[in-house]
Order: sequence, then structure tokens, then C-alpha cells
Amino acid sequence: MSKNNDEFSRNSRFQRFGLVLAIIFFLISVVMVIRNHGGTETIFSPDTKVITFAHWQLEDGFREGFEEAIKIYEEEKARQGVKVKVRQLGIPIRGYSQWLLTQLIGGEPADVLELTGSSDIFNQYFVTLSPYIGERNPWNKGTPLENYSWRESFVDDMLASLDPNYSEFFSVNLFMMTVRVYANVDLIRKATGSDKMPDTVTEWLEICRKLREYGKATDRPVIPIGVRGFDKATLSTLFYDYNAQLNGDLSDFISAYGFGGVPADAFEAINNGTLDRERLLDPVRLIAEIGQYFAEGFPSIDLEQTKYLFFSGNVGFFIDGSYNAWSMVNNSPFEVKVIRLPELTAAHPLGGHALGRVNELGSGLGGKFGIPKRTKNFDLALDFLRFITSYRINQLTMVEHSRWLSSLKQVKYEGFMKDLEPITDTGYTGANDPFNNGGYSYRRVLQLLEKIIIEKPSDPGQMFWEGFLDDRPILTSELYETVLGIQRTLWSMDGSRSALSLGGSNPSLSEEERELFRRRGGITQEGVTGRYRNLDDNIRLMREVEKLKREKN
Amino acid sequence: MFQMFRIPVLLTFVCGAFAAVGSDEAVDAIMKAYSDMNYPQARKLAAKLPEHPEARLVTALCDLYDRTSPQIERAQQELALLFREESLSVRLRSEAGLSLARTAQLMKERRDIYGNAADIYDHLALFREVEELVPDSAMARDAFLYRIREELEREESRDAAFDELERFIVEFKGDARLLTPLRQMAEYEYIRLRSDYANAVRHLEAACAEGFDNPSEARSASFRLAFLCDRKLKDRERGIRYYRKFISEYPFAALSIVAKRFLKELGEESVEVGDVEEQ
Repeated sequence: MSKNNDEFSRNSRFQRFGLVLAIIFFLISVVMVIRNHGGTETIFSPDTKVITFAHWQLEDGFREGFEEAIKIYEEEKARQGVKVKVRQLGIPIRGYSQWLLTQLIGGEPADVLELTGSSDIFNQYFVTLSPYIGERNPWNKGTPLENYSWRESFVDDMLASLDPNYSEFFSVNLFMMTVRVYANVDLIRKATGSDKMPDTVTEWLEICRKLREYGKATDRPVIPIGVRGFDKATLSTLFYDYNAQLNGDLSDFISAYGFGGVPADAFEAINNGTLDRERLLDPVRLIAEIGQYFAEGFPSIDLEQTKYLFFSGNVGFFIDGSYNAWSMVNNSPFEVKVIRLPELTAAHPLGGHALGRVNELGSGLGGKFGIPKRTKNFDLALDFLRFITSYRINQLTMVEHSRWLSSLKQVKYEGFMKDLEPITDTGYTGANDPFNNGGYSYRRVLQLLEKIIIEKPSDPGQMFWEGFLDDRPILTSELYETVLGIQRTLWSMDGSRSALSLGGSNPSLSEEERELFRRRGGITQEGVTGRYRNLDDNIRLMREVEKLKREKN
Repeated sequence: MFQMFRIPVLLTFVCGAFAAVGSDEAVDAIMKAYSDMNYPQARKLAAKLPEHPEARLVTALCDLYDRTSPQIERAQQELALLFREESLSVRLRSEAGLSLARTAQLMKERRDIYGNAADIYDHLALFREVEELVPDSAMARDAFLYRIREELEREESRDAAFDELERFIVEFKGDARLLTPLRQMAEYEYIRLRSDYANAVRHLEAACAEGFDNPSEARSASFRLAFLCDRKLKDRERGIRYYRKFISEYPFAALSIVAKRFLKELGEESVEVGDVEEQ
């Protein structure tokens, strides 16, 4: 009997414990549900609307900036008699694409989302903003952007937001980015006896040479130029920038259709003898020279490793986007100066026809945010999107908290952020790089550059040219896929045309609504010729690349 | 006797009225779902009114354009029937005809995928019929845009196609803004096929005057106009005028800095916002 009583007592305690656990988990769930729905104010206040704002930007300051912005928004809306709670969701970038798709397909997406993915995803799931971008942003009242339309308030007039496949605006950009060089002043001073920063490539290479010598003399593993090797970002940046400095003037005459040009134009000019191919290979020779100051094994060093090496005090210069500027300056235990990529001048053997730095106005826009079609709170979502891209709030979140450049016009920068401002005092824009046709073939081009840096051939230009020609089948195959993609887009565009045409013919529409459909239809059809031009350019590129010869003309 | 049937007759009329209103609302809902490109919803709603012309049209269009579940052959057959049904409204018929013609045209450009499936449709003839059915409309413009591109591609029809393009634009009585996409095509093709910058610039100038719906196209066209006048036509006066206009309209654009450089090369002083005279 006693034994049975003991057993009963043990079972009873176990069951009680289980019951307590169940109650605890239930209470935790209730708390989480209440929290996820905006807090007790929302649960007990049915007229409070909750909107969710989701992104993958987990960098220092971003979320904090938006928490402050959200508080201001909620207060401002309360003053307007609108009860709203905004929930911010930060999702790690690795899982963001998957999470986003699940949200969009599952039918309960956040109300304002950071966009990633293809044009088809944007077209299918996101609201087109073109009906709204011509209106003024009401949140800009009392600011220098008060009289600008929402579109015009952006530094690039929303050019970067335009989807090239659907000729539509599915998002707005929150920030701008420039590329800069972060210099370890202490190390440079020790190596050169001076803290004068290089302005030209010649000066830069000389400092790099002294850094290397200093490393050998002191038995320190000094790396003159730290790079993001693993994702090839640094090589891509250097190749683009120095191609622009050397060949930016090609935009003045290479294309039959206007300013700029496409890769097909350059190769056609080489084939018909009007362009010396050596011009296109000079940037390769320059990169090969600069690359001698990268670390051993640089192709496998990623961003975090390079930043670690930099913070350890052994890297002289690190090239990266301005989004890392504050982190680099603030977290380094030594003085860091932010400088522009050095300018190629006539002092360098390759700089005889160099044009100088290119202007960065209107480039480097990022942080696309849009509204999914399935949002249950469209008006509030649009209002919030306008709010976070308004003059005061965008500076609060981007400049003050994140220390990033704003995507808006008329923003004044102070302190170290002035060093990040876009270059505007030159007359040349970035040049079209004929070797960059996107995709895997461009990755092969960057791998070729890596190989040239490592193997140090006597003629880097010729080695590059031959490697590029060896990869013609890969490039042609990709271009063919691009052509097919454009044809698919033309089909989808006709779907848009049809939808807008039928939508606009509804007799119950107001004049304003009808005009909106007309305008959206106009945007779609204005994109048709552009698609045909892309098609023709890609076909021409395939033809011209096939005709290129290995030997010099 | 009439008194006996008065209430049932009255009830019948009332029910009929409600049905009509309900049907109108249902059709509005179908059209709205389709114009939002919400194909699953549009299909679902259209399935409730399978014999209604709008529902039939939308179902066929969803079958054509919904890439998650295309039924192209079935769609095109239905669109061909709708296009020929003279009892239907001109609006529905022209939409059916235009979508049929366009997709047949695109299929013929991808014979590797579609083989000869679209050969039963004479898409060029269909385009012409749509142009005649709804002249001076956006649909006529689109039918012509798609057709003329193909005619210009063929050497044997090219000269006639250029003439027809000019005639269409001159004779078009609809909203002049509808001509912008055609003028873009004209500009491009005059350069591509004839290196004829005079005619290309003429159309570009007109398009800039009529206006673009896409602000990015507007900006790009504005700069291109200045550039082509300056660099291709060697028309210094117009080049300067249009560079200045561009700088005035887009002072913060990267190309405004390039425009200032070009003005300097033409021996002109740089401009600030507000300096440019109105056209």
C-alpha cells in the first residue's frame, strides 16, 4: 500500500510539473502574440492598425534609427487622429530571400518590405508606385524638398528604382553608397614617415611599395591593399573605376544612338578598326600593377577577414563601400582616414589619356523598399513609405544613426561624412565596360584578372584578351539566354498592356483613375522600343564577339 | 386575370434587375482582378459567369498571360472566336484580336519552343484589322507599333514601312501623347536602318514636346536630343539650346555635368537653374 502511495505521489508530482510547464508555455505564447500584434494597446484597442516594416539591414544604427523614426511616426499619426503601431522586423540576409517569398506567396506579407529578387517577382507581388511618385511627399512640408514631387526628391529622380524589364517603379531607395578607401594613418606614417594621403595612383603605388618594405624590415605581415577577394567586389570596383578613368570618353562617340554605348559598340569598333583594342586592355594592365600589393591568397579572403586584418593594424588601405565607413573609422584602434580612389594621371605610364575621376552623382542608390499587393493597409503602408523617405526622417535614420548617405537631394553632410559625398566636380560619368555582360561570364573575367595578378605575365593585356576570347562560348550562351529572357519579357509586357487597357476602359472610373491607367499603359509601351533595342544589342554583341581576333590589328 | 399574375410578374422584374446589378458587379470584380494582374482571382471569378463575354475574355487572357499556368492554345482559340463575334462590343473584340495577334507574333519568333503552333493565325492581318476596328485609339497604336517593327525588319518591306509609319503618325487623330512610343520606335529605326539622324531627331523632338509618361525616358530623351543635335547633326544652336534645357530641368542629374562639359566644348558658358528660356 505504502509503495503504491509513493508511486502515486511521484506520478502526481510529474503531472503537476507537466501542467505547470504547459501553463508557462501558454503564457509565453500569449505574450508573444500580444507583442507581435503591437502590444496590449493594440489588443485592447481594436481601432489601432498595425503595420509591419521588414528588412535585412542588421548593421549598426539601422534598426535603432528606425525605432526612433517609428516612435515619431506613431506620435504624428496620433496627432492626426489615427492610431497606428509599426512593427519593425529585421531578418538576417542569408534567409531573407526565402522568407520574403514565403511571405509573398503565403498571403500575409509585411506591409513595407525591402525588395530582393527578379523583376517578375516584383511585377507579380508588389504595387506599382508610378501613380504616386508624381505627387508631393506630404512629409516634406517645411523642408527644402517641400515643392518637389516624391520622385524628384530623390537624388537620381528615382532612376535607380525603375525596373528595366517592366519599365515600372516597384520600390523607392533609402540610401546611397559611394566607394572609398579606408587608410590606416598610423601604419602609413610609420612606413613612409608622413601621413600625407595619396591623391594619384603613382603616389598610392609608391606608398604601397614603402608599406611592403616596412613589413619586411619589421618582420610584420603588412598588407598594403586589403581586398574583398572572395566575392571579387574589390576587383570589380577597381576594374570599373579605372576603366571609367581611362575610357570614359568613349561614351562621347562610340554609340550610334546617343551618349553612352553598349559592349557591342566597343567590339564592333575594334572589328572595323576604328578603336584600338589596347585602350580596353590598359585598365587590365593597371589592375595587374595595383594587384601586386594585394595579400597572398587574396582570392579566398572575404570581407569579414579583411576587416579583421584591417582592425589588427596590418593593412594599409582597404577599398569598400561607404556603408562600412562608420564601422571602419569607429572600430579601428588607430586613426583612419577616408579618401577617394586615387586618380590616374599623366605621371603614370598608362595615364597619358586618362580623364580623371568620374562623377558619382546619382549612382550607388540602394535599399529598395516597396509595398506588397496583398497588404491589408495600403494607405498606411504608402504613408509610412513616404515618411521614411522624407527629408527629416531619412536623414535621421540614414545619416544620423546609420552614418550612410541619404538617397535624397539637398542633404548637407558634416564631419567625416563629407568624405563620403559623391564626386561631382568632373565632366565624365562611368564608362560602359564591354567585358562586363553580367552573370557567370563576368565572374570568369574577374577570375582572369586574379590569375593575371598571381601569375604576373609579361603582357597582362594579351593574356587577358586571350582568356576572354577562350571564354566566348560561355559568354555567347549567356547572351542567348538574355535574348530569350527579353522575349519572355515582351510577352509579359503585353500582359501588362492588356491588364491596364481593360482596367482603364471601365466606365465607372473617375477621370483621375482613367488617366492613371492611361499613364501606366504609356509607361509600359514606352518600354517596348527599349526592349527591342536590348534584343538587337545582344544579338549584335554575339556577332561582334565571334569576329574578334587574338592577334593585334 | 392580370391581377392574378401581377405579383409574380413584378417579382420577376425585380429579380431580373437584381440579377443584372449583381452581374454588373460580378463583371466589375472580374475586370478589377484582371487589371490588378491577379490571375488566380480573375479566373475564379470568371468561372462563375462562364458564358458572359467579359468573363470569357478574361479567362482567355489569364490562360495567355498567367505564366504559372498557361493554356496558350486554348486561349488563342477562344480569343479568335471572340474577335469574330460581331455581337460583342468593339472594346472586347479589339482586345481579343490584339492579344491574339501579339502572342502569335511572339510565338513565331520562338519556333524552337512553339514550332508552327501560331502559323494558323495571320498576325499581321489581325493587327491591321484591329487598327481598322478601333482607329485613333491606344489599341490601334499598339497594333501598329507591333506590326511596323516587323515590317521594318524585312528588307523588302522596309521602304514602304517607313512611309506607312510617317503616314500613321500624321493621320492619327487620337491623343497625341499616344504617339510617343511610335516616335521612339521611329527614332531608333531611322538610326539603325538608315543612319538618318535628321528624321530621328525630328521624331525625338516631337516626342519630347508631346511628353513621356515614364520620367526616366523623358530625362534620357531630353539629353539624347541635345546630344544628337550637337554630335550627329552638328547643329550647334539646337545643341546648345537643348543642353541648357536639360540642365535647367535636371540640375541634379549626373548627365547635367556632362551637358555642362559639352557646352564648354561648344564655347558656351555653363548655366545655372533658371537661366534657360522656355521653348
